[in-house]
Amino acid sequence: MNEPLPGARVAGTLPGFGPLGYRLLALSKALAMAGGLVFVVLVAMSIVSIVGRKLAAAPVPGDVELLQMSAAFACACFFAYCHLIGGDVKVDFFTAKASARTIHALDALGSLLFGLMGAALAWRGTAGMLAMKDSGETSIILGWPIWLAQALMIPGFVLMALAGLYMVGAHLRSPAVGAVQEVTP
Amino acid sequence: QDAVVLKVHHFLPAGSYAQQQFIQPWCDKIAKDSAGKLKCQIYPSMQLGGTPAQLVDQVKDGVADVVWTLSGYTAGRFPLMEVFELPFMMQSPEATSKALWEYANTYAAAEFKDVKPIAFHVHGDGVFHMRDKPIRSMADLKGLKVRAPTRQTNRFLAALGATPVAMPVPQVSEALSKGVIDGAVVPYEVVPSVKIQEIVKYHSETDPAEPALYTATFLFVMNKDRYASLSPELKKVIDANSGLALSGQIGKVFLAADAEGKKLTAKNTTNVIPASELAAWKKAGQPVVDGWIADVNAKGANGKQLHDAARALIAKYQAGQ
Amino acid sequence: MSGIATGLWIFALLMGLLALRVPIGVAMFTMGSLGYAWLSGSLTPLLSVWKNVGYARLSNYDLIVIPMFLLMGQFATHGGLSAALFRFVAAFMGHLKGGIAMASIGACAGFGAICGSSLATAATMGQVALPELRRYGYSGALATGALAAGGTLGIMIPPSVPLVIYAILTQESIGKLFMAAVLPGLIAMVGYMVVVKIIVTLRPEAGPAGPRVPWPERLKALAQVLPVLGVFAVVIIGIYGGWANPTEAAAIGAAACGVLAVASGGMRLKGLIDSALGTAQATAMIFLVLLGADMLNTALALSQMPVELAAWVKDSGLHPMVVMVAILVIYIGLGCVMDSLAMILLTIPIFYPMVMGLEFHGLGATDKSIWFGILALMVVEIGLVHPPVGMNVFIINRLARDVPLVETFKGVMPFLASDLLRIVLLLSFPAISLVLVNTLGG
Ligand code: NA
Ligand code: NA
Repeated sequence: MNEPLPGARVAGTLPGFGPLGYRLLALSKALAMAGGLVFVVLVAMSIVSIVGRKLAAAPVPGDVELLQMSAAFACACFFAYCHLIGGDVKVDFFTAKASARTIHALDALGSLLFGLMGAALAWRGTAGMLAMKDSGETSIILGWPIWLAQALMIPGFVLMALAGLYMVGAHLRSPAVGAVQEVTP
Repeated sequence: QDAVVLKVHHFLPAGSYAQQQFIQPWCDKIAKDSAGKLKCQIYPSMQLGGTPAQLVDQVKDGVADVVWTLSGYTAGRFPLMEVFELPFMMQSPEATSKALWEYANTYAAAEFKDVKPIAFHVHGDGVFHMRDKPIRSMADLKGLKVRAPTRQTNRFLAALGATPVAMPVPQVSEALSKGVIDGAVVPYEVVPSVKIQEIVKYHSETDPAEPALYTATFLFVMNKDRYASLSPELKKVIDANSGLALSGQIGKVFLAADAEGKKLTAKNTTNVIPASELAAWKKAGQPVVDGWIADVNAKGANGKQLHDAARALIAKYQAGQ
Repeated sequence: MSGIATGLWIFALLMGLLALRVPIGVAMFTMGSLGYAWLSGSLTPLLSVWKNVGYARLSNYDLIVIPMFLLMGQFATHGGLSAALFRFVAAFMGHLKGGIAMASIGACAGFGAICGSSLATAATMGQVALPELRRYGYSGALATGALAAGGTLGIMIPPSVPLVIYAILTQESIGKLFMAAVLPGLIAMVGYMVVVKIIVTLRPEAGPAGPRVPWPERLKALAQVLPVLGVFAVVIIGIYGGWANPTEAAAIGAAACGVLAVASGGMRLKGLIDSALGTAQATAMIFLVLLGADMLNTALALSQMPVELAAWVKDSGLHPMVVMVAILVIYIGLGCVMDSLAMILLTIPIFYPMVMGLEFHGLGATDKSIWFGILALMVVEIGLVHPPVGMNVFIINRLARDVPLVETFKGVMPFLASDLLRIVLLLSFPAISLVLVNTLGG
């Protein structure tokens, strides 16, 4: 009955993928799973809040800000995993006929920029988090510190940077023959 | 020599009353006073990125040169300014905006050490906009879900027996039409932008002779380095177009905006909560005031003194009108 | 350098990076960042923008609806629910030539009625319908083209996130806009089905007829779809009946699908984990682009390119209809590189006053504003399927790993033609969007 799902189906990796890559993948997968489960919990919380509001005029206090802070954390957890399994949205229109060597070289460039983007988000995100901590900003209803939610996003961005940089090497190590393989680790 | 162009960033649409009636006129004025050497490029609707809560950081870091924002968007960031958001503080927006300017510069200057203040102001009387029934007494609020803008107003609504819900203004109309909330407190000035009049049937004001139910404070501030980099001549133009008089003027613009917004609600039912009833509300709101004083005391300030000072300033400018 | 020139440089280099297979979100983020630093003349403002870009985008309440609906789709798939919806439509249409493709479009429209996102609709229905389409021997072009186009029904049929954004920017009523979108949305669905019909008439081998499903099995399909209809009813009542906002309605839908999936025995712990991972990957794909678009739009706003472009169009002294067509063409052009939400956010503040100042069919202010909202929705929706960057096309193509991207873009072209036809129709007859609003009220 179950049709294959895009994320759950394959963890596609490269021939150049080594032991370090599998360790990164396991870590990213665990983080992505945790982020996904956060959404399951948020669904449950929303239901409790809606029912509470309808039946007892008692929604979960600060449900909106809880949702925002948790969702930001959860989403930051997803990027590294998606990149390691080759799940990015890209244009292969112009390179459809290119050789495997060219494809790997170009994907190494893409991974480099991906990693730099992760590094920028991690580095500056940390600076933003520290500035937020200094300014003492809180959420409106619960009075929770905003910097905490920002701090929770940092590991996801750090992993994003590592995933990108690792994939640069993985692409460059991959053999210059054959198609880009998707294999299940 | 090329004109200096200031990047002015804010969260409302270009057609909003705030941009048309106060930001654009201010820009025109500095352009005129500087003979075209100082100009604005206005970026409405958060076009330079980020969320409204981040405008304060953006002006501090120089992402924008000038921003206009609600200090309540960044709860806990301007604790001393919050005294103006306590229940029943504001008299008229013009007088209270002037009082806010003096208060901010006298008592809360530390909260603005990273920016160059141009104006501080408040909006007009906060009014209840209710879906299904008007608010005539505190009992009417029992158990209702009501949206409020700042954390002090949220605490006040909770003290009155309502269930406060925090959400950004743009979500208010949808939440109202879906019954996610039973009502919202905002000034009439917000009515056109969210079309509240199409969704709610009742508007409950408080006795105009009494101080407003609540107000919120706004910042119109400039990046410090950007100001410092201006020639003495252009600094003078900025100085001449900031301060007490401008703050009062913006308060007046918001009062006029309230009148415009109220016109749209003509087909709905409007009631006034009498002063006799509001006496009980003030009593119920006292713990919120005490809570603010305790919070500020815990931060090493003298809350009672600040609260009294703010009230005295409001009374002073009210008397001077 | 003028704003237009700077903006064009940013676009040109962006195209270069995209052609070099750089992930779209990453390419947008890179060019947005470089453009921003170049325009500010120093790195400091960029370093400051980077401090907040992650939290600002990822904590956006309206966007949370996307992972919520993706999770709902995962649960629905595990419980066989979106499959049941698809099978139900297919049981009645599958025996026609191209019937499975038509059924996919019908199922997309059904899903669109509870989902405000085109990408989520494409992703969710793609998971369900694509294996079936391939099983019946549909050509890769028709299968992926129909689904990519069908996915746009996710925003064409209300609720619709871009319409909510438009409503906020223009101070227009969300309810009226949703109602105005209903008829054009249904026309879009019928138009896509007609396209399928034409394709299979010209090339019967592209969409073979499935076996005729006998009535007992049709009734069985109906019985199986009842829980789905139940979920849909809950979500639709949630959104329109005054229970919840779209994000909460998505949560209700996800919970209902989750409970059904567990009850049907389709989901155990492994299914839950798979759902979490599937949501993670699809969300990452979409949000990486949203993050990049945020940075790119910030740079473009700073370059003043959109403002200068609008002023140029306005000053040309042309007939209002020519201006409107020019605007729509600009949208289609911008759709090459921007996501629909970002496009609306960036351009509506510029184009809206321009449109409101011109005369169209003698429409009043409110009517004109609603009509333009639906037109804008339709052109930004086109951006989701036309090359070189069509998000829906990419999402569907990722699901169909055996189909080259070029095939999918070829497959989507006939549907694009029906989109253009529908836009011309709405341009000539604003009543298509206004009749329901003015008879039923907003
Ligand atoms: Na929809
Ligand atoms: Na493919």
